[in-house]
Amino acid sequence: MPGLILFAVFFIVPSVIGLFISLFQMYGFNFASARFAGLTNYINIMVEDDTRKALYNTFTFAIVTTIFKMLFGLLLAVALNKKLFMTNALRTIFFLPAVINTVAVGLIFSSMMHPTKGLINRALGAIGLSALCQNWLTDPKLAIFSICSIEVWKWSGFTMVILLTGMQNISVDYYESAQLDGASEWQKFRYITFPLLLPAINNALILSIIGGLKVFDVVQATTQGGPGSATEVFGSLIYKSFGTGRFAEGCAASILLAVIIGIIVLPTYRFIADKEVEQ
Amino acid sequence: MKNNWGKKLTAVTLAGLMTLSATACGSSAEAAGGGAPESKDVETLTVLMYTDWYKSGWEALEKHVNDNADELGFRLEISKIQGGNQGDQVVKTKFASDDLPDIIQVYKPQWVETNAGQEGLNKLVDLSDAVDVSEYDPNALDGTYNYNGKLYGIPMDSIVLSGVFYNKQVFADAGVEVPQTWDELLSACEVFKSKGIVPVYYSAKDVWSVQPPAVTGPVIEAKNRGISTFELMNQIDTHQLTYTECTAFVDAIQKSKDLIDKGYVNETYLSDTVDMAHEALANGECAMYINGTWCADNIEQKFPEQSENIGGFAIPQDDGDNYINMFTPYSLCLTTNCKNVELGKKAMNYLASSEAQQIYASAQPGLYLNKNVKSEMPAATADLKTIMDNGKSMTDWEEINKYSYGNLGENVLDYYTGTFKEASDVTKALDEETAKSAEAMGDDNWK
Repeated sequence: MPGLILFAVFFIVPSVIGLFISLFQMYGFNFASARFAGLTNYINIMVEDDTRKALYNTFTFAIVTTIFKMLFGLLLAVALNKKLFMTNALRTIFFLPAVINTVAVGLIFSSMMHPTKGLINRALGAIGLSALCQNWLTDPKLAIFSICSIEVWKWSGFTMVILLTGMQNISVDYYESAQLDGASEWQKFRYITFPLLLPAINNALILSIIGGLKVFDVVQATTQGGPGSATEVFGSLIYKSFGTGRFAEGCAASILLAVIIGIIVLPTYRFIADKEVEQ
Repeated sequence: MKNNWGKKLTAVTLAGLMTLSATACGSSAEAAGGGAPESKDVETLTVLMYTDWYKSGWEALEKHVNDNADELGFRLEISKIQGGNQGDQVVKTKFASDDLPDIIQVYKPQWVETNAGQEGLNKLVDLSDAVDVSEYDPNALDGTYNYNGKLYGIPMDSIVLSGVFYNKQVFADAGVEVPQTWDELLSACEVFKSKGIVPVYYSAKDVWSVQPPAVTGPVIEAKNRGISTFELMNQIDTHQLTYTECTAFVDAIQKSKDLIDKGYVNETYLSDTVDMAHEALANGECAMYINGTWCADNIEQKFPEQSENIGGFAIPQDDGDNYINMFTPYSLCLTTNCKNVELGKKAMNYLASSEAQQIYASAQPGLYLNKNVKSEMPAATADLKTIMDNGKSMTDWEEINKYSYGNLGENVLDYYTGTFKEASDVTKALDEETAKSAEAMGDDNWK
């Protein structure tokens, strides 16, 4: 019961108030001058050029980071699901980026990705690969992918931990039976590990999609949506709406984002959940 | 059972020790008195400001006031909050929730009106009959501190002037004179480029710093129209004029990009910061940097031996009639939440006096609005002050706008990086944001 009250006070009530405010036109906290605007705020957001660009960037970010986080997370989980020398140490090392503050990560990568003074371009130059040097965070076409790579670096270890937990719940009996039947490592993965890992994959995938669509911190810490608005995402648009005092617009954008996430995540979750098998 | 008694005994002992230590803390705090001894008759006035505004000037003034509290009749207790957007949100919330200190430092009364409405402005006390402003140039106060016929605040900090900062040695070595027209500036850039020196440094990693080359535009527009920037902004605020119709503004944005297109700007400008620009200018790696007098202050602090080698001039115009932007100091305002308003007024009168302003200025050299304040200033600031003294400056328009126009720096960068095709796309974006803000406020002029 106390949990329900806290949930209502800190989630349900603010959400309802946000929904209510989003239907008005108002500036700052000037509630006295608020005028009912219906769906105007929602329509304004949807027809703006900035929103289209932000949505494009947000979806690009969510798709790219989800694919690579799942891929690297799975590879790391498979590799570290064996008793090897330093297995525990390696698991800790790969998980560590997830606990580093995003602002610190942003500052470090901004420095590393500087076109002339950054470690990445200098290292490429030192090994004779100057042709690969890029304006990682300032090329409008490349910047969003550079930010994706930072996100993948930061969160692949986290995905690995979720998948690793799932793998360790799979009974060894299946593998022993498969071994007796002469199954190869690939066959064991394809027919035992992967199907039984689907619940963990589903969780990791959903978390990754939600994180990708809600992205804000890593963009703010690296490019602040720039150069110009080249890496603007939906989260930074909401931030700007609130920052300029257009609270109703900010509330409408937040609700819109929640709806978009819901529309994508719920069917995805259901689709994968239907394919899960029980041990 | 025995173990339980042991645990209980340990818990009781620890609780006792904590109580004792808490009492001891209270006693010592009382004894210490938080600094200077408090007198029964001296009231404390609470002050709120952003952390980055509390610099050596405020530090010295706070100490002076609190050390002389008995004589002055008041003490100051300054609270600081984070600056930037998040700090702005806190201040807006405080205005909305009526959770204001006795004294608050804000950008301008206009900022309060824009962000907290007329109700917010009503929470500031009119100081017209309480503060002696005879030591200030009335023109410098009008429209900012003096707003809508009321004196809402007093200046607290130094003036910032924006212009072109240049390395005198680099100019001398290249045999280049200070340019007076835009064509002369381009010729100078060509000379520096041919010598392998970056002619003009941009520092777009700090987005705000791409604004100074563009913000002179509306000042030139006001000059061309024969009006002040206040009148210009009034026309924009009332929808009689748009930013896009200010052709000098569009021209300034266009010219700032021309410098990039002609190869006169550092190649990595999108990744470079303001600090890097200051270092490059001080070391002679670049010839010029367009910014505010923060630049001169920063170079004096970090590269004191180079400070005298840095000069300043106005951004040259086609006709050589050059102006600079003047950013007036932040406003210190008394709020209606002050329980002893008469004491608050007395304190504000003292803080506006040349005595208090001199204490501030001595600790934090710069250019001050109080005419009786003497302060050392960097050579570049002195150069720009000469231009201001010759009547070639106007109050920066960004400080006196009624409606938020979005992020100019971001829009300029959209133009630099190709998202916007024309310079007028930048001003159109400002117009759209202004319209949205005005509509959100219910302004009939935008219906």
